[in-house]
Amino acid sequence: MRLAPAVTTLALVLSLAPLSGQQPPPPAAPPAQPSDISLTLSQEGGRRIALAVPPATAPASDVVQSELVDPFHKTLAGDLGTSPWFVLADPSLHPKGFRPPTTREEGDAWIASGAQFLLDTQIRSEGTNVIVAAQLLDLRTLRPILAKTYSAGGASIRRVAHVIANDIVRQFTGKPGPFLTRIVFSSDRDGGRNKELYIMDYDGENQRRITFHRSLSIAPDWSYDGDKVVYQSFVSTPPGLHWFSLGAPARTRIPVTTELNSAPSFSPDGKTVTYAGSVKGNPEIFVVGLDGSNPRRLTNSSAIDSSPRFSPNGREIAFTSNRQGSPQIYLMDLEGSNVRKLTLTGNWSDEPAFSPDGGRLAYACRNEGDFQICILDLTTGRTVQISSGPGANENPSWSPDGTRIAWELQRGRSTQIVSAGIDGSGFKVLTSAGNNGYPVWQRTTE
Amino acid sequence: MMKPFRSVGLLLAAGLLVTAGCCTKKPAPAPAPEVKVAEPTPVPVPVPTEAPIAAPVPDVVETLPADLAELNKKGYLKDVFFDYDQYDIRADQRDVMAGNAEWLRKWPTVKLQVEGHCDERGSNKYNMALGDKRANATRDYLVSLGIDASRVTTISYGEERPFVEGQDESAWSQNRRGHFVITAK
Repeated sequence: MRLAPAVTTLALVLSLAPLSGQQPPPPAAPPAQPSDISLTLSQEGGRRIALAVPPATAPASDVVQSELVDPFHKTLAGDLGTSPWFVLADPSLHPKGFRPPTTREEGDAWIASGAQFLLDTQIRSEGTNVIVAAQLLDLRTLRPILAKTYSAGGASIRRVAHVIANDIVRQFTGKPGPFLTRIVFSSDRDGGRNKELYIMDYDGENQRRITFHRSLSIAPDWSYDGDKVVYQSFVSTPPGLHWFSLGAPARTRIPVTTELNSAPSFSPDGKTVTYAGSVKGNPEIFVVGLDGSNPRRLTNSSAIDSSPRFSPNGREIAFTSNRQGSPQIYLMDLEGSNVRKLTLTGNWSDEPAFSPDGGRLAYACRNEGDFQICILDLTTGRTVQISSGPGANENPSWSPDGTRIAWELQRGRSTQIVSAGIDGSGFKVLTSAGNNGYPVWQRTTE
Repeated sequence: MMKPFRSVGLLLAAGLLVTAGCCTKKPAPAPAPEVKVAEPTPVPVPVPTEAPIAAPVPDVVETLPADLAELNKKGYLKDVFFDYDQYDIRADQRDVMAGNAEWLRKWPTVKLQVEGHCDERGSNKYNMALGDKRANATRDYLVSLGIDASRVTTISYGEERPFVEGQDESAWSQNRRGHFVITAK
């Protein structure tokens, strides 16, 4: 059960209006990673909101500390600390006590730690239930702009932390963060040369296997409503396009007459997929119904055509082709006409991924050396590289709120899934068991 | 290359073998399903079948291992290698392909799958398509040397199944290959 905010000071929210509904501004240059908070602050021109997130207060108990307070704090600070809207005040500068601050002097002690706002939380038990009270205080006025009580019920304390983090982001931006979303990916952790599909929370927690083919299961995509996953399976020959509904046991193969059958991707309405199919040894872009109906070939080139993705409005498809020499990303309409080249730099571009609003394209880019992750602004034509350093970066995917990218990073013989803000800040490694790749972010925020 | 056992006695024995073979010869089996489905997977796809092909009798005494896994370990068919981001059969690979075609002519009942592989330097999704091009270029080259197209299927593994681990040109050049797997004999 959630209670409505006890107090909301609307004027203070309005004073933050410049942030409302906007994406974080792109940085002037690719930042170094992992992120450096002070560097990020200066790059953002101080536009991030300085937030103090001290550990929740709770009854003194070892069990409460290890089972509730610690995982709750790790999750909440992890969510808000990697959010592009906030910078967390240095915990070592937090004043002792003053929870919440009730006098001007106590408030100034929190402000001295570098915070504009304090997220004050309390954890308590009521019978077998866990209750979390949270309030977000403006330290200038000492008045809460958000106050809510959360009942964990059967949910984990981590989930409660994600819900609170979403509420905090929604308070400032009008939209939730990505904290309750999940990522589907492919992993070889089960041994042999097989890969199976897995799902994890956006922060790498709760990793669990969802295919059991004992074969290669790769290149998944998630339907826009979050219900279905489609992927390329080598369980039969030729490899096929398989899909399933989450929570349902059936794995269905889309009947197609093509070979190859790689990189399937859902249309926004979930009724069709686009994929790369081979006809007489020539990979082309196709669209086909989930039941195999109405297959349509969209490209007709002797070159390689691969890696198709629907635009979020469903009217266009981005794909990769070497028709003019090196692999580059092109855009065409749903009839296969009006083909134009999108990536004009570098010697190899592949794996296009549209931002949720369709305005930008993330992709694996290479000029020399290793692949990096680039973001192309489709309006201005400007490209920003968000990854850096050694290792090959591939297969980017956007969080549904458009603030983060997950991708796979190969360093040496280890390939892992990482994520970062679209300015490269807040870099996190999400996997460690075996090798992990082809991450695709759920497209719904909750 | 002449085989050392072409003696009169062996030729006689070969005649016996051929005779014996003719009497027990069964129609060429349909391609065995080599797929192990690990879980119930409703597959509404009709399995393509090929018309049985009468197997001509080999005119030599050599026999192939009965077990396909053993047969494939023999390495009768040699891998063909490709240049970076290319899928044409290189000039220096033509002798290898000619040798493969010669062996396949000698064993006309053998069926095979050509696997197209790529090194890890390219991107995953493009490489999956590039491997398809390589496998099919290899198949087409065999067909141009007189091998019946119906004997050869193709599959791309992209960069999913490297033969050699390593991040140098030595490893990469070995991973850009067309690899032959005998699926029926």
